[in-house]
Amino acid sequence: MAPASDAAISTAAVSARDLRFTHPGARTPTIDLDEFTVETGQHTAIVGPSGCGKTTLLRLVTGALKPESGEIEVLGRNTTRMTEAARRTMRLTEIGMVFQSFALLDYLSVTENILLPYRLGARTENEAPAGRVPAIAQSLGIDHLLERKPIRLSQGERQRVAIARALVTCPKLIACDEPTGNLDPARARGTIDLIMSEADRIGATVLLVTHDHGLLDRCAQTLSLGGDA
Amino acid sequence: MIGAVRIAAAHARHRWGRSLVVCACLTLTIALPLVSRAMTSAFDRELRARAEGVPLVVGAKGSRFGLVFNALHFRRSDLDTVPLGLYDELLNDTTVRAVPMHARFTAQRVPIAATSIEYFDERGLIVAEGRPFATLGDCVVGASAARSLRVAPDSTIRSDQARGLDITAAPSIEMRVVGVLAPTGSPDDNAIFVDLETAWLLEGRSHGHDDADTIDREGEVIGRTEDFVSLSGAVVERQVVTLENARDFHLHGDRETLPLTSILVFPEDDRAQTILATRLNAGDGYQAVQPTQVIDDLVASVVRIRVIFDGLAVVLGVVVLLLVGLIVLLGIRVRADEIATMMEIGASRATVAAVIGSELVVLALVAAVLAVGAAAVAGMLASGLLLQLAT
Amino acid sequence: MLRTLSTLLIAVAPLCLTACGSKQSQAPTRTIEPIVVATTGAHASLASRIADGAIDVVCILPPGTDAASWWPAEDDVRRLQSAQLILLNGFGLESWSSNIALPRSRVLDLSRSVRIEPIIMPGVTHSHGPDGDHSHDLENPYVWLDPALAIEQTRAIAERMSRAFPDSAEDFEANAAVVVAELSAIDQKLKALDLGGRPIAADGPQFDYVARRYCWSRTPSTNAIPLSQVPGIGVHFPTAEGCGTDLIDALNAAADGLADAVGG
Repeated sequence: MAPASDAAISTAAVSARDLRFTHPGARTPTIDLDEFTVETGQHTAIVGPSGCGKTTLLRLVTGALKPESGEIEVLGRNTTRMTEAARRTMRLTEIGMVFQSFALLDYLSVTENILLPYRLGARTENEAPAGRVPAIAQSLGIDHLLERKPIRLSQGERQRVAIARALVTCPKLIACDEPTGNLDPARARGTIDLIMSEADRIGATVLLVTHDHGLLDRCAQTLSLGGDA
Repeated sequence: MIGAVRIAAAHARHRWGRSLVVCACLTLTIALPLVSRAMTSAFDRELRARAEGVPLVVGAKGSRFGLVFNALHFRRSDLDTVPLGLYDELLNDTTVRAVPMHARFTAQRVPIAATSIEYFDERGLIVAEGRPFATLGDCVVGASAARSLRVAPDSTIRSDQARGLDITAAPSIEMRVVGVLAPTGSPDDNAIFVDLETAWLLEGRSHGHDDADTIDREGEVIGRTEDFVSLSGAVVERQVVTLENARDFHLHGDRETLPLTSILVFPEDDRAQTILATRLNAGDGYQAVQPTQVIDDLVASVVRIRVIFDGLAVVLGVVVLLLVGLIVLLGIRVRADEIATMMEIGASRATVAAVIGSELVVLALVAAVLAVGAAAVAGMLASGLLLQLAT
Repeated sequence: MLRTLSTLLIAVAPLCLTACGSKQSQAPTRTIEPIVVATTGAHASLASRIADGAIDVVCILPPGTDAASWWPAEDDVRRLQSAQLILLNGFGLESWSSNIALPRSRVLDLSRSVRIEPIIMPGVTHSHGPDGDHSHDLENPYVWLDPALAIEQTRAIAERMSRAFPDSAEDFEANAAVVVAELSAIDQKLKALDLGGRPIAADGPQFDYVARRYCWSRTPSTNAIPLSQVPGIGVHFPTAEGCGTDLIDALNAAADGLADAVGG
């Protein structure tokens, strides 16, 4: 392993080497990657059959999981050498996340849901810069729903709220875990288009976990896990 | 941290039913000891303040509590009365000052304290409106009684009939309000003050009717000799005393034996007090008690009751804490997905704990404020309430 | 929900504040005046002689008024209530006293402090129902006209005045001794009279206590028969109850008049 690796100036948003991760109790490693690089702005899809470790890889990238061995460099920093607190801060401030079931908090209004990354931060103000939320809401077409609770939103509206939450911190990396899982192909495509265009607008790189091969053409790179899918 | 509190508050609002139950349980747990403490200390404070103003109370032998509450709080007691002669005797004792008290009647459920005009001086009462009582049937009303009865100088109050079904009982008498006292924050605020003579009128000891010599209506005179007239019950007794007819009221019986329910005694020094108390307590019919001592005994027994309340509060506290703990644990389980999402987004364990915990803290704070409020209200209502329990 | 709770708290808070701040302490506005109020001229004059100008003595009865028929007006009640000492003769003379709110501890009822057996004047008694017999027999109130009883009353008045005004107590006792001496002189004068067993025809009940004291027999007079036609020594005896009358002067005059009548 090259000791100078984390000092190397890289244009990659994500780069990983010799990455190995085994779930507790599993006999074979879930993740075993020699090399994996996502250049900045190069939206990348991670595909593969169920249980092949797509979500695990995504969580290794965001720092929610720590690899057994190997190195991951995210947004120019070696996360394997960072403390857990530093990785959390990075997730909160530089990585936006879109989850499969949107994972909105039903007791919070749309505004509060969007502001969640700020609310959960350790900083005392816990507030987004003024005007950020209305601007994002407007560009996503949900500015009239800000005071509502998620239960009163349609599926599509909820998804936009989830995307808005991922964008509110102006992240450099957007990690999406099956964001279209419950949608029909037409809507799925629309959603991906929305994420991609918003990401392009703020200059973020999208890492998309999906099993929908129809969406791969929107990505510059595809990483297949668990065989030759 | 503020963010976590905001999320917690939103969750508490969203699950309002659960919050209400938790809050109510916590309020009850915190309030029980606070309320019992506030009540007993208000009770203690007020009773003591009241008792400290009067060094000695004299009355018929019997319940010391009954006597003190009659003399200081105008509570009706089942004690025997003492004769006016005893009061006269005390007046002749140059080492003490004495004020008579007759508190047996009510007017619209407000106690009527019949006493002598000196009571106002001894208690430092100020007639804020009108004048002190001057003649039979005059009354001066305490500040809060005037409010609750809606009376002012020149209005009238009718005394409550002593025994509703007893036709031989003295009729109720219409009293003239001549003054309203300035508020004092003591039981004097909720009383109607009249001269002793008025109480005897209420007792039926004195009454007013036309001059027996001039009564000649049929059925009213049973027999008449040159110097004796026997009147029948048909003679209409006066029920309103006015300046004009006051002369028609007269006492039946020996003045010395007219009843008092208690006598407030203000000795000039401890020695005079000891001598008087020893002398009266050695006799058969009377007792002389120190109100402060009686109140000490009463408060001591109330404090003993409070220990039971405190014990209950501890048990209740443990039960409620267990229940609240259970609710929190169940909450964490139910909110597992939500917690996972928060941690995925980047929340630390501490932040998640703050989200869950601050909700409990907010509810506990609200409960504490409510409990303190309840204790304050209880403290205000305490004296009246406990007084009724105590007498 | 939090909003509702806070509204509730705001509503409760002022209640607590008023409860804590309701006590006030002010000095009583009613003042007791350092005066002695008497209901008869006789007692006012005794008290004046004892006081000798040290304190004011007020006779509350208007001049020319009969004490038995007088009833205090509101102003009189106020004066009585503010007096440091009130002298009542008792024996029913002040029939109003039981219907007026007097400051009992500042009242000297002479009928109780001087223990004597009152002379009963026949009056109307009435009774009704279970209350039992009730006598309206009148007691003769003219106690003070007996010099010996007047001495007792003087002593009682002086003792009470000394208690009420302790600063002047010594003067009062000395002045009272003078009054007592003068009354004793009158007593001696009356005692010395020799009626020779003749009855006295007096013009009212005021003579009764004097007659009893000196064992004089007395022909009671009524309004129907003029005094001049009643057999016996005709005597006009003053009541000395009107304000402005001096008891000692009146008794001296009466004793002299009686001596003249007996002598003549």
